[in-house]
Amino acid sequence: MKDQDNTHFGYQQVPIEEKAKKVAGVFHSVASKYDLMNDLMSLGTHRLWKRAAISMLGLRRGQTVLDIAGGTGDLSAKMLPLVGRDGLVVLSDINASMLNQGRDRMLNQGVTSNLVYAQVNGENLSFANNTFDRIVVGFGLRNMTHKDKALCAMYQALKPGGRLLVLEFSKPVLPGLDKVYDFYSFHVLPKIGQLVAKDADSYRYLAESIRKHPDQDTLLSMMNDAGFEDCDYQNLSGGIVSIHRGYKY
Amino acid sequence: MIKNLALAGLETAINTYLQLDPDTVARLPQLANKVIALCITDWHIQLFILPQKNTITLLSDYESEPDTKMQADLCSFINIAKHKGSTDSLFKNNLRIEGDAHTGEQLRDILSNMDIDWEEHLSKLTGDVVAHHVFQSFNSLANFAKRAKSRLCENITEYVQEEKRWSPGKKETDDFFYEIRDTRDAVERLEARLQCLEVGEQA
Repeated sequence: MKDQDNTHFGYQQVPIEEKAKKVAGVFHSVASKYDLMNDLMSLGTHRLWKRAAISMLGLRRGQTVLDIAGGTGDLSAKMLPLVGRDGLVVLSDINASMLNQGRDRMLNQGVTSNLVYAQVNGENLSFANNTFDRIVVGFGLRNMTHKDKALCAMYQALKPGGRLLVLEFSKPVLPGLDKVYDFYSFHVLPKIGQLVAKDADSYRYLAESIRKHPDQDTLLSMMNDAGFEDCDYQNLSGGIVSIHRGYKY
Repeated sequence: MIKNLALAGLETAINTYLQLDPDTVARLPQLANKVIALCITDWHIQLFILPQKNTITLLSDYESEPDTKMQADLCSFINIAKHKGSTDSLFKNNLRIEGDAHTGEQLRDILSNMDIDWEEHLSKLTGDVVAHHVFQSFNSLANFAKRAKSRLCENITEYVQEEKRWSPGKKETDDFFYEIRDTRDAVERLEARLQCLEVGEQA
């Protein structure tokens, strides 16, 4: 098999057409314990990362927002009060299990209006051009096979004047943090995964996929290449996570 | 991050507190889709409150115009909260309301009418009998503390004013202030009469 026909799945090389299936397998496996695992793995810090992302999104009442790889709907739930009853949030995910978890969770919270669900692939968004005022991808871009293609699709779906926000794991920038972070990711994380979700491999993939994800500056230039303007990023928790922001004019 | 942490903590605390009073939660939908800005002027802090069906969301930034903007210093907000938002306290504490005043009034009304039935909540954990006894004991203790505090204040006042005579009593101070007021009025009358005489002399 030619090298260009392969892509990375964590540290493994897999055929391009296999990656989506393997990623889907990971998320089918962890969907039911996804929220609990997020809280355990990050000690609740993921809530602060999401809160920071929402505040950088600059939402207003009446706007239409697309939450890509929205999974269990954490970000969508936070965005709904901001867009108000005249706005709309589209909670999308490629993975049916994750989307079902999100839908059940929203229904259990009594959220039924101004929210629609869509099972879509972030690389091929099935929405008309210039549809959304804001697009947010929370911890999802890392799992996409063709990130450049996904960024272009998001650019197309955004309205002029719209804003894209990518919340994603990134490269630690604080001196010494990378060693502690590596130890935690490769030794502690899979054990927590095994104990709680009975699945160490999926959490090993999580750690590996974070290492294979483009660093802050690379992602910034990818966003520029996709057509976004005035792109910037903000590191959170010493660069463990970063929020990239880009505009379409 | 620290700002986010503080805001998240405050939001969770307020929402947990709200959930303890179902009547208040039931009134929150009246404010759904509204944005209320709170500006604490002396601390240069601005918070945005977004009430929803049964919770509230707190934000540090909001790019659009809020429906209502309430501005005051921290002490004034604390005083208003302490007086459960009575109309008097709103005027005394220099609270400035811009925008839709009705929304601000509704929020004040909802928060000031919060009444948590702690006995009911405790009874879910311990049963009715235990909860009732705990609250009777708690109320007796609170009443005793209130009486003791008031008696202590009276005794200290009496010791300082009557026994040691370190400071004048209330009646003495009142008399002193009345005398000052009378003197001031007399001086003002004298000043007015002198002015009249000056005007007559010039004519």
